[in-house]
Amino acid sequence: MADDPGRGEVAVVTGAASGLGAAIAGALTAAGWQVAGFDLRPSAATALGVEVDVTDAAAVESAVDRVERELGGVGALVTAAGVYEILPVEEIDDVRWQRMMAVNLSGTATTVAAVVPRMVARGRGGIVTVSSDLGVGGSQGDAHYAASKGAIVGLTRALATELEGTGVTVNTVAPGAADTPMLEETSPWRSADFLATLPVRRLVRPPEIAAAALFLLEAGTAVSGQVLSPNAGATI
Amino acid sequence: MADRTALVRCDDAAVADAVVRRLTADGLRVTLVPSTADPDGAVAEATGAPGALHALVCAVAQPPPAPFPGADPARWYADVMACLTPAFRLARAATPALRRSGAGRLVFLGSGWTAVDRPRSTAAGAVQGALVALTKTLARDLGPDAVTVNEVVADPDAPPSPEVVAAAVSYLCGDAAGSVAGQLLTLGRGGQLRP
Repeated sequence: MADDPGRGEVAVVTGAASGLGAAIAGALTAAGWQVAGFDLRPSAATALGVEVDVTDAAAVESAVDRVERELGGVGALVTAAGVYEILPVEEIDDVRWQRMMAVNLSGTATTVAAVVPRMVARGRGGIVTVSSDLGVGGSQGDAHYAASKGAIVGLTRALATELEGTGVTVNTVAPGAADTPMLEETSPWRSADFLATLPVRRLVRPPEIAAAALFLLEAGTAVSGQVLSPNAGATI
Repeated sequence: MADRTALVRCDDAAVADAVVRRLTADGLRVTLVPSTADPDGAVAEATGAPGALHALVCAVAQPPPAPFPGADPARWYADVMACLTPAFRLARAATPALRRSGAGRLVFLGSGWTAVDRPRSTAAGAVQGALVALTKTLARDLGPDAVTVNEVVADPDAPPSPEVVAAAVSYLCGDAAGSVAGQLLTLGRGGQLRP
């Protein structure tokens, strides 16, 4: 990373059209990054919104080409695109298993794969994946989601090991239950009973997650392979 | 009391042999299947459908090391899922029979977080990270029906003897381990507490 990261540098944020991705895109923009938002829907309030399916590796590669053409070399990537679903294990049929893994894991791998060679060639770059507290400590009633997020933690930490010495850092933010549209109004994660179990007694706020991502992007090359958990104390 | 049944899925012949012998010595009627076995068929073979299954021991292999930069992400993802999905399918297929046991045991054999400390191991890291989260999540899901779910962790670079693996499996499958749930039992030195 540069001594003064962010100032005019280009960041790609996936899932930037709403929720967590939008909050991260906003925080990066406020910190001086030029943000390109990747999403199925238009990403408002970004320097460049690209409508792209992150599970489509070729489309993602083209989207990154376009970002580098129009804005410049990608200095940061934050992968916030993801889906969530609560379902008992016997009801997670193959279609639901594959879909969850495709969006959360494959969608992360495609964007990371598209930027890594470019960052390595330039000798600098920061990648922050968004995993989940549920991928670290496990969950309840959403085995496919937890598995997909645990996989992201594994990918992140292994890639940090692999890219040691290249100037490229790879870290993950593992949020706890957060107040985003991904969490339905009737979600048990919003219930008073659950909130009472949290040391902080409330859901995590999207700007808190964005701040964690920004911290990791601006921390320099000394911090890599780390899991930062804005999780209201859910897993300690 | 009817025979208690166990299903073992493990392609490492030495480990499989040790586990089967140990569980058999523990009084279980053990069925060994290859990782390519049809999940529902394997469970039926072990239990005599729709019987109860006391223990499922499920080894989860990982893709060999390969560099990530320049890798085809579709190929990378396919390698990850080829290790993960059949194991998930078998666990899912076994779940009703494990619940019927009244003291079911699901033991995954994996490499836990040891995978992420080796170079060129992103696919292995993804598989094993998923397995850790799956273990912990299924432990919460199945715990109320007295099914415990745990993972025996062996570092492939410093593998424990098959007998040690078998002893760990035997312990976790025993009645005395009924309150061990969602844990990583690492066979070797060190290892990380979390994540």
